[in-house]
Amino acid sequence: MITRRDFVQQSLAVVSLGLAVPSVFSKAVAAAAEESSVRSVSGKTLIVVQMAGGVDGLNTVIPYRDLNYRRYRNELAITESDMIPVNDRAAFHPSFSRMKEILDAGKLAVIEGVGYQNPNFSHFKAMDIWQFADPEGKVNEGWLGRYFEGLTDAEGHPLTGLSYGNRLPEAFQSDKVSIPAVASLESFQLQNAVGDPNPDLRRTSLMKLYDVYRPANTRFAALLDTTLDNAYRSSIQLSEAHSNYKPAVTYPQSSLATGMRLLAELIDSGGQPGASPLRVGHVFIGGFDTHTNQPNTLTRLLRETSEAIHAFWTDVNAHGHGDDVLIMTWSEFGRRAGENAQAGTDHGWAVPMFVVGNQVKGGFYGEPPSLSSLDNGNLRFTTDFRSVYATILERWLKAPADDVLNGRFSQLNFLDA
Amino acid sequence: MTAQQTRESLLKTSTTRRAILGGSIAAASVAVTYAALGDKFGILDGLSSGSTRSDADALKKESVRINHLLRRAGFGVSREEYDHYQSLGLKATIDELVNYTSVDDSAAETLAGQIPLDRQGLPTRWLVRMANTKRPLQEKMTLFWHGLLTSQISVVQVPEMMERQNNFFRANAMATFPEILKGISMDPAMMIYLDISGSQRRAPNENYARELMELFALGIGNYTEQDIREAARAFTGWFVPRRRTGNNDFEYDEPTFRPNLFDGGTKTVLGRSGNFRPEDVIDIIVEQPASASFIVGKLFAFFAYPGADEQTLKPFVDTYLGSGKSIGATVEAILRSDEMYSPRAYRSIVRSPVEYAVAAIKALGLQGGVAGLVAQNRGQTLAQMGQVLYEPPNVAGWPGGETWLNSATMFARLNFINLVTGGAPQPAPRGARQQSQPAPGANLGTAAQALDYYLPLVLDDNVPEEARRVLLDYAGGPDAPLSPEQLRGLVYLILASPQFHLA
Repeated sequence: MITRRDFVQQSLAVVSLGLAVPSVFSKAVAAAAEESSVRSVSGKTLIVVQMAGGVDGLNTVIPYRDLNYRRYRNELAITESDMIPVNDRAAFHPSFSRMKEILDAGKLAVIEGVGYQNPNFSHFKAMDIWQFADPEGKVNEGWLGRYFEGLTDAEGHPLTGLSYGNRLPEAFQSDKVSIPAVASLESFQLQNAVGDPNPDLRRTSLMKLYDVYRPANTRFAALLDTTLDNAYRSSIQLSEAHSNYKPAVTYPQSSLATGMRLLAELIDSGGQPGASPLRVGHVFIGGFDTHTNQPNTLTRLLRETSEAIHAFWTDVNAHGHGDDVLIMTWSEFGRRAGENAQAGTDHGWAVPMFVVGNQVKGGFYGEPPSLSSLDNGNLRFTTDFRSVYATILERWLKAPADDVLNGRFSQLNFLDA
Repeated sequence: MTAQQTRESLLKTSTTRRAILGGSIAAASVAVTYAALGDKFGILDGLSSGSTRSDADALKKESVRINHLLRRAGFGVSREEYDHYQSLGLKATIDELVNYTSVDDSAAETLAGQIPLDRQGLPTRWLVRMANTKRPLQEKMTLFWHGLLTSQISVVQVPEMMERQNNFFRANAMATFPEILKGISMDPAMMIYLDISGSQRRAPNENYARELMELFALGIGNYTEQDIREAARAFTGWFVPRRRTGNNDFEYDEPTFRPNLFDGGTKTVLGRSGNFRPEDVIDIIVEQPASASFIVGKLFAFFAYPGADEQTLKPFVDTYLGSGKSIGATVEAILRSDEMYSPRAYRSIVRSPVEYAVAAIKALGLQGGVAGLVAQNRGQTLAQMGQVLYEPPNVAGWPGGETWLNSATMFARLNFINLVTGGAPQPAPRGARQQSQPAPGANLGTAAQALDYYLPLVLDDNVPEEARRVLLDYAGGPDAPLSPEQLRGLVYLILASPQFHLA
């Protein structure tokens, strides 16, 4: 059990300056304590994969021996010869062959029946609940944002967190720390003027303007200065990482795979194993809201997901970072047990999560949701999603889960305590 | 590469920066710490080069107060507006801003109306209007209401309905608070967004009742869950019929009331009982003292500064209550108050992306090219800055303040300045190019002349001496003739300055 106090002491480089210093100034704090030997609490990296829209868990991890499965999925049931049996009870969707390889290697944990009490069936509300880790809707900071608030990297790395995509996921939202969202390497840089004979002079002049603006009565001056400095250093680091990197695999052509490749580059930018500056990366694949014509869409999206994860996992292993990287998928809800009349499924409740990593104890966790006791046609949840978060926070990121999640949740054993 | 090498290369690539920052970053954090402690030791005097004094001094100038006002009650100024309002003086400027109904704004309306009303055009129409309006306060209040009584196009889906809501805000921007709440409660987009539509006696949907109390009119802690359940019953029976008009298109009809689905029983809301309808619930809510503090606090934070205490707000709460809960009277009182022009208010608000973009466009006289400018960069510029009009992140609106600033949004902002000052890889769009003489008639042959022209316009002529020196050094001295590239670079540096992020 790691206490709040340990966490702060281990991770905040300079407590003596006073906690009045918001963590956005972490770099400033780090610079003030240049000689401090304190390092970040965990050299581990978490990659969060959001499968947005509500994944049809029932056709992803299929209870193929359950007679009810075919009863509820008259049209949409996966043909037995196509599916990939993984044990005497469950089979994977045919598109999950790459995930099956990871399972066979003992590095994939499947957590079944994940959800929370009183489910919300709105995409937006449900996504907020997962990302704020708060079914009550009272919290407005993301669970990973709260994690970052407690974390100050003594090395002053600008890229401890990174979201690949247009906007910052709510999970990263924080009033105190700013995590970069990178839509593309091309947009994540300070552009020079076309035809400017002296772009360096313009850039250094700009940075001086931010440096010399130091009025005593605005709290934004230091934030502006550190944000620009941080952004610029991040962009240099990212593009250096990008140009120096040789992937060990050919990544598939998808936005998810492109994002994961970028994260792999960043993980490797620290050089040797354990030196990755990245603590948490976030990538996204959307389109799982399969109300109509589900088979083609789900086949494509599950393939994209499993191939991107497999490529990334293989790549980070080849670069020696396999022991320091954990991948977790999530989706805001599962789908209704019974199919609808348009070869699709509607918003449901329980959904599986997948966790990949060399340190993962592969296998099945949580109780499989029952097809014989539905709630209004929905698979009941059996494992609170915050138990999965708590496990990863405590056992992987070495952060105090109770504080980050505002409550105590039992942990699962897919990672060693 | 090893970690050590990476670190060294990092340091190397930003050597200049590190050299400058070596002491100053630590100094900045020390300054923040001491500011938080109330600077018992007088350390800030040495660190801040007298900046506190310089802001207070700057505010003594009426020209600065006018510019400050126009950042808050408008979207910054174009050269023409600057000249116009400066010649009016502060008092007459406030008069003109608040009495906007007597100002003709048809030109801006016509310009906005030329953009097609589809998903892409919807936010652009409003941006065009913001940049070209002669009624800046009305547009600013429209933005205030859009941020408070939010709806999202991604949920509502129909651009016409979102613009109708927007027109409601514009037309009633300064009405009384209960009138505005009653109007928005029967606005089709809102009724769809927060599920008033379809809520019925058997299972009242609590969504709207909850947000009405929590986010729109009262604030958390001033009502109970039971109040929400009871209030929700008063909003039952309403439907906004949806009609399919094409394959993926549909539109909404006027809201209809179905008495048989309305809960006609007695409800008890905030201590009062009766067979309430929506308007009764709103009247009960706005009678709560907490509601007056809530809305006045929101207005004060929007125009003057965030985080004011009760005592500071008291006179404005009195105005609000004494004027029959008039938003117009309250806003006017804030704009005329000393608090509005206090050092605490000055540069205390981070400009939202929309305010930032419009202010830059106006400063350069590019109002005619708004649509083209925001369409650059695959139309993603404002999204990358973090604010797409009609698409707030959720029902709580944009959180604002520090959340506008992160690495990605900082790049998006500065790269937009690069675009509008003519440095972007894509050529400037037509409308913008035609007007891209940034200062017709002005003599900008030297850095000194360019600074004289732009610094009062966009930075209140209030920048640290060191900043002035950086700008002059960039140009090779005050009197050296400027090449077109240098002038462009100088204007970029001025607009990209840290102070320009602040309102």
